[in-house]
Amino acid sequence: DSSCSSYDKSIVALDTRDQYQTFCILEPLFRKPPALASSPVVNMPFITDTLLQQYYSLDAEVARELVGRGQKMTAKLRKDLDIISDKTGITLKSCLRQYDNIKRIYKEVDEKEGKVAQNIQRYYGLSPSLCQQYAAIIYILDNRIDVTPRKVPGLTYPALVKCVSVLMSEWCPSSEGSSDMDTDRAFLKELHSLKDKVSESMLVGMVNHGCETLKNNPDYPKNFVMELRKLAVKLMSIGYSLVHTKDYTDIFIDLDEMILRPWASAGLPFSLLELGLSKLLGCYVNAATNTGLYSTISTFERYLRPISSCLLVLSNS
Amino acid sequence: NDPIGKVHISLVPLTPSGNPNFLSGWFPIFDTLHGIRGEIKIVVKVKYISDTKQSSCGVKLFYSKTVPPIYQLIEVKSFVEELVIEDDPEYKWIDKIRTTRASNEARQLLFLELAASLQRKIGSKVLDLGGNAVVGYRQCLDLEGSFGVVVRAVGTCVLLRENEPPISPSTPGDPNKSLLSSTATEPITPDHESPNKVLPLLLKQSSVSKKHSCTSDSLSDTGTLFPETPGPMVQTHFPIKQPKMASNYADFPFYTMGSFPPGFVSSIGGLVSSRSVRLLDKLESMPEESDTRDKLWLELRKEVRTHMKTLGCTAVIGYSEQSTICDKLCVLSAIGTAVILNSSPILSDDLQRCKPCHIPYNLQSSPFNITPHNCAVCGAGKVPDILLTTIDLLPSTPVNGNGCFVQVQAFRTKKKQTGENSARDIGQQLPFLEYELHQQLSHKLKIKGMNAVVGIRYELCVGETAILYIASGTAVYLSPLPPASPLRVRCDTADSAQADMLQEAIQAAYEKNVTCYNISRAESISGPAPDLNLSLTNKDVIVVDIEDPKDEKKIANSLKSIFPDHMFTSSSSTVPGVNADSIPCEGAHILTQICRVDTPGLETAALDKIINTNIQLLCFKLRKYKSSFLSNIRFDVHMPEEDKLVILISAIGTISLPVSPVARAVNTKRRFHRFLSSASNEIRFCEEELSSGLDSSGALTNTAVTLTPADHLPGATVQHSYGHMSVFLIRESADVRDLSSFTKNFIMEAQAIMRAHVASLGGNALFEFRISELVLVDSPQKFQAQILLSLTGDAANVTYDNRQS
Repeated sequence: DSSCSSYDKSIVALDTRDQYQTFCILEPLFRKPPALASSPVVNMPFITDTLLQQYYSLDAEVARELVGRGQKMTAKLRKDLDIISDKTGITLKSCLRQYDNIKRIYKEVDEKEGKVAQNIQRYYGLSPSLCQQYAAIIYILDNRIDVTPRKVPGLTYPALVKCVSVLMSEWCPSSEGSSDMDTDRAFLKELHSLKDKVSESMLVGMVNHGCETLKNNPDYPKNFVMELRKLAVKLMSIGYSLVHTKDYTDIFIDLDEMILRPWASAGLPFSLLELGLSKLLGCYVNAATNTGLYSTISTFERYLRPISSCLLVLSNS
Repeated sequence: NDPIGKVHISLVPLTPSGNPNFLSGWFPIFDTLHGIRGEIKIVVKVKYISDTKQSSCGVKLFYSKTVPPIYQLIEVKSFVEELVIEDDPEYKWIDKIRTTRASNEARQLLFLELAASLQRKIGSKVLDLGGNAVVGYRQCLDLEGSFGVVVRAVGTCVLLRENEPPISPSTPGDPNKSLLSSTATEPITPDHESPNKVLPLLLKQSSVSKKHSCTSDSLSDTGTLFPETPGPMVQTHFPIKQPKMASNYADFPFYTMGSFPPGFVSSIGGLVSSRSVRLLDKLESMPEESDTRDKLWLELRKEVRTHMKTLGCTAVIGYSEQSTICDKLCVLSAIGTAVILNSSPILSDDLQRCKPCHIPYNLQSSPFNITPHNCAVCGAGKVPDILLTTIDLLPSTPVNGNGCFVQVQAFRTKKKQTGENSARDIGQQLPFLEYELHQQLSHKLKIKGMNAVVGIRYELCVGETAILYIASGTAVYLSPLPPASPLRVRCDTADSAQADMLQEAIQAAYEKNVTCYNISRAESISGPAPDLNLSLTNKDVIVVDIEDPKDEKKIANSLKSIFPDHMFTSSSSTVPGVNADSIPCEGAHILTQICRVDTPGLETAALDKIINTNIQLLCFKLRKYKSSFLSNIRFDVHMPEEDKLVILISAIGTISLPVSPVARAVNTKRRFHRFLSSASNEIRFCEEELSSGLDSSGALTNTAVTLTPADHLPGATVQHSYGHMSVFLIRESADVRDLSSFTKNFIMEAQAIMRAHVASLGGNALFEFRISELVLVDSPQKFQAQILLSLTGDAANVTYDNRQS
């Protein structure tokens, strides 16, 4: 910092020590922001707010590692933070702070009604983006969603937050007595029940029918429709199984292994994935209307829409 | 059965004095062993029936050295002082069997009670004198250990009248308008061209007018009371009757006020002080203890009065008393500025603005050897070559360039002695220390190219093994005085090359300072100095004899300016030569730095370095800003323990942002916030006030209570003054891992308690905020520490101008 250059190093060191002393006074209050706001001792509203946001800030690398351990915030994980620190190059102190913050917020908002992000915002007064991140992290931890980096390579932290946020908003309505950490079981069951109504041949047929025009279009790769057919079948089988907790936790792994990789290995660009996914809904609506499954359209749509956005986010990351 | 904590509330502000008769607010519950443990909502209503015990209800005391802006000064009455003494609970036999908490609480309560009884006594004196308030109130706590605790105070009794509420504070530039509107019943046409015109006095209180009848010759000026004070004061334009000085002052024509309305000070004689070294065990045998202490101070005041008369002066202003106690030894000192004071203001024209600098006494009969010079402004009067005053710069005095903060210290270690030996030793050392102090001060002034120090403050501290004497003030170039003569080095030892190098360095530092402080060259000496003629001795040039490397080092050290070039510094609220109003300033932050130094083996040079480092730490907090003010810099020194020196440095850091006038209208809060967030990403805890563990500015937190050591807040208008407020707190712990954190936390808690008290009255500002005593005792081996704090200030309610826009 150029403004420090005219000062002796010892001054900078003393000042830093001074800052840490103040931090020691403030830190217990940061852990309980309502206490910070009402504290008679700390009388610096605007600066403390900035500091609070910084105190709860997350490093993408660290947060990614923390949620990717496939375990809730255990004491063992806390002990192993030095591994994360070594891997990410972020100080152990900072890793500990982030770990503790996640754990504290998790504990605070767990079992509370309503939207997690809103509860965090209400209690901690964090910025919307931070609240969203914490909500996503807590969702992953609470539902034990497997995002181990080894199993889902390339799934970055921002992508993860985006995907989880979409799932939370679409599949987890926070009604009275529940929070958006719990997935709508009724919806998953309904989705599961589609397995008996929608046959594989119907899916193949609807894609064939819906994408007739694309089949011989020289602008599209020859195997595009074929791959889309496969995709529709696999996508639905993922959807049918989500009702089982084990399968739900593997959702990102399955999406990666069963959809994205085959798509890529078939030599198709991800840019076509978007088009394909958007076609699927139209195809289904047509097919369902023709076969008298009109009532299933909303379930299908509720499944397809967030999954599509997740797939697109994942394919980009 | 453990108590949670206590809340002490003073009901003094609720007595009939224009203040509300109730208070309500959340008060921190304080425990001496655990600190603040929670808050409790308290509502108190006082119904005033009658004053049967002459409790002096309604007399307001102000720590401020100036009259609060909502009042109009009618008459300055006289010096008031009072002293009470009581046994210190910590030294009573019962302390051996009661708990620490009980002992601490007994002390806290006793100090409060003593202070209150002192205030009542002062109040009664004020009523006897026909006054209704005290300004420049200074309350001191002398902990004499087993000999008791003395609470004493001095102040200036005045008669004040409340202004009518400001009519158009938004049009400060138009005195005529507000003047007419406020006196519609009795229209007066101000005539600026003939300031000598006599204005009829507007007196509403008959008792006042009686006293005033003798001042029919008082001259008038529709200006403000204290034009040198920037901010709200200048904005209240009312038909100001000229205040007057009471002629029948008690025994001593002493005034604790730091500044006077223009025209009162006719001539400045110089500093007058006296000091005495006493042994407390010698006093004890005498019958009435408070009497004996009264006598001690009386003697001191008499001596000051004699000095004043020697200087041909009629009054002492900026007067203060100070004591330092170490075991049984006690050093009392009294200091002030001897002046000739007019009983009513005589406003002189511009040519005579230099008059206060003229030597008032007869040079022939002067007891000291001074070289008078002709006044550089009028050419007629005689002026000294250096002027030191305890008061701030007189508003009309012409200055050259900007002033800057200057501070010097003399430090000696001493043998551990007791009784008479110790007293004799101190008595013998003091003159040398004082000499050293003034020599250094003179050198620093020469290097800065300045010739006066205003607002000078001396802080003497005697410990068991050391003595520290600090002087600090604002150095300034007074135009009437001759330019600073250059500092010459004379080296008796053979190494003249080194002396030449030093001489060159001095010249370079001087040149730099002259540019930096904007001192006009025409008046200052420039270019190569004439050849040295040592036969002239010390009269024309200051010669520094370098006899050993230490001297050389000392000089070399004093060459470096500890402040950054772009920073304005001052020991008071204003920087001489700089019009603070012309520079957009945002946010004033209290900065406090406490340093503890081990005295054994400490040398002056090392101490210099420590103090400079701590001042630079304050500057460091303001490093981000292009231009900034560091004002009200103040040193408090204590040696509560044998080998520890505690230095408390406090200041206000004011940042000035390069903002266009249009942008200024934008909400300050938001702007500051944005400003902060746009700063870099480094660890920014405590960017400004945080770092010193302190509180944020009025501009930032309009709703919160602002504590400020100054007597005004930039951009704020005082609506109501509630009077003084004082709090004593003791904090003790047996689990102190880091003493400085412990201290910092306690100071923050103490400030929170102060804020709660101010807020409960409906106030939102505390002026003249001081941590006036800081006794810090610890034993790190046992993780124990005890801190005693005395906090004082004037509570007020202010509104911020920028909030209106």
